Amino acid sequence: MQVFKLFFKILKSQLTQIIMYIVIFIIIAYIIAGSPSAMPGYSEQKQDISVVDEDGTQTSGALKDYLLLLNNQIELDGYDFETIQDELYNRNTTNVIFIPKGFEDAVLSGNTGEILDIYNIPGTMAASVVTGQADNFINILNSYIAAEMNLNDALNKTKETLSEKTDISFLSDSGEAASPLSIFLTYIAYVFITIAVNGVSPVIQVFNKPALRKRFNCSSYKMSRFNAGLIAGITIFGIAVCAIFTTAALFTHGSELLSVKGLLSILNMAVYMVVSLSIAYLIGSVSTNANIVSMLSNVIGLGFSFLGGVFVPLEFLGDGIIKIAHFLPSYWYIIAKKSIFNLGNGSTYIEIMQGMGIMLAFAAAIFTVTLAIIKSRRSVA
Amino acid sequence: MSAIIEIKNLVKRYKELIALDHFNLEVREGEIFGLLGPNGSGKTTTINCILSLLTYDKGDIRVFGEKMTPSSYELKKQIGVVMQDVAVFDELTVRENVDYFCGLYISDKDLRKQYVKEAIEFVGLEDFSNFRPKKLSGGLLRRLNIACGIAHKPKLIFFDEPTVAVDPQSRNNILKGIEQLNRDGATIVYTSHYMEEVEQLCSRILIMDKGRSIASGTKEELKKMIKNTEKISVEVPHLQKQALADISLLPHAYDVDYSENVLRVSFSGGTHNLVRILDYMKSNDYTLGRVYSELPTLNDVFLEITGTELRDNA
Repeated sequence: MQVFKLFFKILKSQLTQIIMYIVIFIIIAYIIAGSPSAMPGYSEQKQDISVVDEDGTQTSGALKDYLLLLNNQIELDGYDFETIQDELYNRNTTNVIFIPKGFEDAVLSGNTGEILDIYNIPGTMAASVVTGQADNFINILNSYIAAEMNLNDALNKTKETLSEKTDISFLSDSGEAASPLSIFLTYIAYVFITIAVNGVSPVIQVFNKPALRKRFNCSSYKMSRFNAGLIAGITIFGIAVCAIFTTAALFTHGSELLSVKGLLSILNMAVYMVVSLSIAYLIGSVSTNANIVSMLSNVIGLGFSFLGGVFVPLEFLGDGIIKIAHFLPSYWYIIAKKSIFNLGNGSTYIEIMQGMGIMLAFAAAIFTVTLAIIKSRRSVA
Repeated sequence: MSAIIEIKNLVKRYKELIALDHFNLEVREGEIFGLLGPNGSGKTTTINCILSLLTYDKGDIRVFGEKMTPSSYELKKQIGVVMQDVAVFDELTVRENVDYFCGLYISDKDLRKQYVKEAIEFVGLEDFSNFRPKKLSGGLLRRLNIACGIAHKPKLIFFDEPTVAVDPQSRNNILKGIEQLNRDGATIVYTSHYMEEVEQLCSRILIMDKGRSIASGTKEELKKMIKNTEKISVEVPHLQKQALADISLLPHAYDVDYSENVLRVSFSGGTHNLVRILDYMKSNDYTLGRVYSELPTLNDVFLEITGTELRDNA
């Protein structure tokens, strides 16, 4: 218990930094979760337009209503050419649409040509969108009229047709559905390694100070008890960090987390924490300077994240980088995470377990190397 | 008295360098044993080998009659170590530090609490028990270092140069403390390159140089090993060459030197040496300044045996 208790007493000095990382990450996660525009997705946007109905018929009214359902009406000071030019130049409106006299007659006679007078800034997205909306209305109405429907019915059918919405969701190249939980879990790969290195490595460094180590080696405290205390401290630290992030994820994406996908994600997260802690243990054991820990935390955290598909999706990385990424645990974390989110959609449990297994192999290898270094140092001392 | 530490023919090599060369040592129960030697003579290496912190190439080390190994935990319970470097946790207070290191030996909480209190009182850090090490002066840090090493009441305590970079007042406190520990029953092994400390403190002394034991015994025994028994210095201006020749012919005088108006004469035995010099000066009308008569020091022992001064090497 002596070493275990001391682990947390020393850890207290790193607590501010750790809490800072956790709080910042969780705040960002909440922002991502609450803001659909912050993630890849689709949302309708209204344009500021000015519609002038010179026809004053049922059809022109229906078109005006439809356009103003999708956009905002901006009243201009005047509708002469110069005023329209000024208003467009100043971006007070994006489109000025005149529905001219004879519009209804033109539609009824099957004319689908340029029967509207539209002023806009050519080449802009707003110009294309609004012109497309107007053309869409006229074309659909024309189709119903061509099918010998009366005007009332044709207008009703057109409204009905145009009111139908299409659900749009974005998929990555691999087919993984992008969700706030998925993004949260992706960035955890960076946060975990940063927290582990900044939390555990400085504590291990203190325990490895030569004078303290010497005093400890002179004592009657068994080495096995010392190692057990240290490993227990590191494990509790890892569990606590995982628990905090799982709770945060539960608050943000509760329903998604309480599923097989969610539970596998928690397991994947825990396995990645094991790798992060083994790296932190190695850094704490080989370095003697606090500044080196800070530097390595940045180099490893950012390096693993950029090369392993955390900050830049794997689909955007070149073949050479992907080959290198195979030697990084962050890559296998992302692969396992992708497989979890595509479970039943092309991915299997075997792929998930393979990713986690490779991460555990990394952890075992790093831990073995650390022990070998410690042992060689002891024999030299 | 029985031997608490026995070292026979110890050899320790660092690649080509022989740090300990067939080194022998015996420390008896209840004594303050001094390991004296210049820096690099092998004192710390000897202690590290005894404590099993270092492996060695050849020889035999026995502590309390048993072979010492890294897993000799029962033996280690009886040993306390005060390192040359202060080894404490900056993150813990004085009390927590002493408690932590005492806890490596004593698992009983109540007993430990009592031992920690006694250790803090022993080194006089009661008023600083809630201070962190960074708030302590160099002397107080050394005292904390000692408290951490002795809190578990060991029977054998190693002090490895505990007074390096310590002010005279703290040094005296440390030396008094060591004497007290010895009076309380602990056997002490004390290493230093400060011969005055060793001479003042230790009942038996071993002088080391280049990994070898060059002399050992009580300080009196060591001083008897050398030719020099008395060194007399006299401040006398304008001493004639003839006077130097006459003085060198005095009984038992073997080394005569005159520089910066000070005459220095070394004697190997004899009595009334000072009276003979003063008589000569008086009869030749010399005006005298200050006069000293010094008995040989351990530095003289080291100088005579090795040909170099202990101070020069330190």
